[in-house]
Amino acid sequence: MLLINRIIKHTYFDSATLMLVSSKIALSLDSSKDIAVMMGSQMNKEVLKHSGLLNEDGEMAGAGDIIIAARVENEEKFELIFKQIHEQLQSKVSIKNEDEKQYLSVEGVLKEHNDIDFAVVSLPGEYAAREVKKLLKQNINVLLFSDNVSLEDEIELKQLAIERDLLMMGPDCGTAMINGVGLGFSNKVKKGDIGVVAASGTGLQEFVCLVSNEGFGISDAYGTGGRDLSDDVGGKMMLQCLKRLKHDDDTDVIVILSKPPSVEVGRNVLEYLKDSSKKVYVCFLGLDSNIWKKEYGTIVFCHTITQLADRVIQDKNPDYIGEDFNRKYKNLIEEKRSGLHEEQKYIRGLYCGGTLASEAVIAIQREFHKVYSNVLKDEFRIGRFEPSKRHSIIDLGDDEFTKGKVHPMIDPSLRWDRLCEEVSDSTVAVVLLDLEIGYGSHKDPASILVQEVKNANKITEKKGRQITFICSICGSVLDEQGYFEQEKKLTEAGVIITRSNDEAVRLAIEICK
Amino acid sequence: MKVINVGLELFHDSLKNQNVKSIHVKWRPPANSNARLLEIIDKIRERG
Repeated sequence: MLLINRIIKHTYFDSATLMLVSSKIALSLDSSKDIAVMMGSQMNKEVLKHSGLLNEDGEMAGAGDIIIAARVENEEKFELIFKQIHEQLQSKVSIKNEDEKQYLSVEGVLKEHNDIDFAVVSLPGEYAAREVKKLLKQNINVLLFSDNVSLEDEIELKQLAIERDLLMMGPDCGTAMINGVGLGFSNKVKKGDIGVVAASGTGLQEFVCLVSNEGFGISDAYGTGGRDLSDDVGGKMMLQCLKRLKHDDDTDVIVILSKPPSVEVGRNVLEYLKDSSKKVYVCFLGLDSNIWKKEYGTIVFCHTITQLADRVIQDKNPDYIGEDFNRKYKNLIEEKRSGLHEEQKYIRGLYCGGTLASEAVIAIQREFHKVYSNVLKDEFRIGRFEPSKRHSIIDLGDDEFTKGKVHPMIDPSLRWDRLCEEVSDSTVAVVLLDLEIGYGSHKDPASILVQEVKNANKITEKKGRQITFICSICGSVLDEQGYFEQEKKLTEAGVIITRSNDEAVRLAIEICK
Repeated sequence: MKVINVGLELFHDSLKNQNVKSIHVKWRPPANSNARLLEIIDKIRERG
């Protein structure tokens, strides 16, 4: 095999575009491990080197150059691949922006437009802070989607935002909804009086979709980034967002959804809200909220995203009765248990959503004590190239897993390699999945998942086994992918669909008990 | 609302899909870019 790298000089495309092109070509050639198309940044070159796809030609690429790397039988094959990739990239240049003015820099936009309210920044982390600073200095609120932004930069940017009474949501903030507009990955939800602050990502998405799907709406939903509630950052942006909700006439209910805060930061946040005239609901995932209940009796504490949503819905609609889990799933649980071979004991989760993966880890830990995951930092951590063992939950959107790959919400087909490994393990009984729809997500993720499940079933059928696939759809019934159409496709393929991630995890646990 | 989108074009497309005014920046790394060096240059410029 030949390893060939070719550079396209001084040509920039964002990472998602390049990886989708690469993925499409690789899929058509059935060689996902042998082709890569990336910008020539130092980080990307390291990823290529690690994958064995970088040679001395590729090493010469600069950050503003594209590297096309392929391991092929001969040069003719490479020329074919190169031609296809080049055509794909050319088509993206000619289709887009025919009637839009082209701006090449933030400065260029700011010179001509002085009425911008918000910025969405999703640059490589090493460059993001610099651009965000320019925007904040022009009094523009920011959603910072980028990860790999330093803690030092995060603190400085948030301080700058607060001095100007602005929002700096992030880093690593995937979702926000401002006055009915979705920023980043988001969903079409009803407008209403429920205000939310979350880390944020799929946890926020699941919560707003659950309440909207029951007829209740969102005023604003803000994200703070995953480190905000640490002692280092001190909850700066959480308090800034809560200030906005507290003083917003359109918000009657305030909801917080996050990982556990540090003790001091948690206390500061709750102190700020304890005398609020608005109803307050808090879910610090994985934290025993009994430590706060006595002191903050006016605040409602919940343990899961579903419980949080159900509690808000019930308080707004006392006639709301959720479905009884045991009645709904009793027969199914018995049926699936009886179909297991003796060695099939374990749950494997392959998640696009990090918060949902964390929620699954917490629930499985509570029941079975031992669970392995890449969201854990102790001896139960699984790295990207390590196999799963026993109960394992993988967040495929984690930084380590997305190095050199696009986020699985953009390209769900990237789940396949790992799924293949999991179903080949004879000790696996259940595979947990999530499916995100809405703005920014794939236009038909269910079709991709259906194909993966069908291929996975072929593997297990050859070995005379059955695996139960359980999937929660993180989406609004108003999303353009069509919530019910997505559900139907998956159900017809034998996937069990649940209303929420918590319900999916509970079902998996019951089957494996 | 008017939004400036710097980075992934799919977010710009999402905003247009919602009929929101969005301006996309076809951002590229500065030539000979070293992020740390650029920050130092910015700080010197700020001090004027």
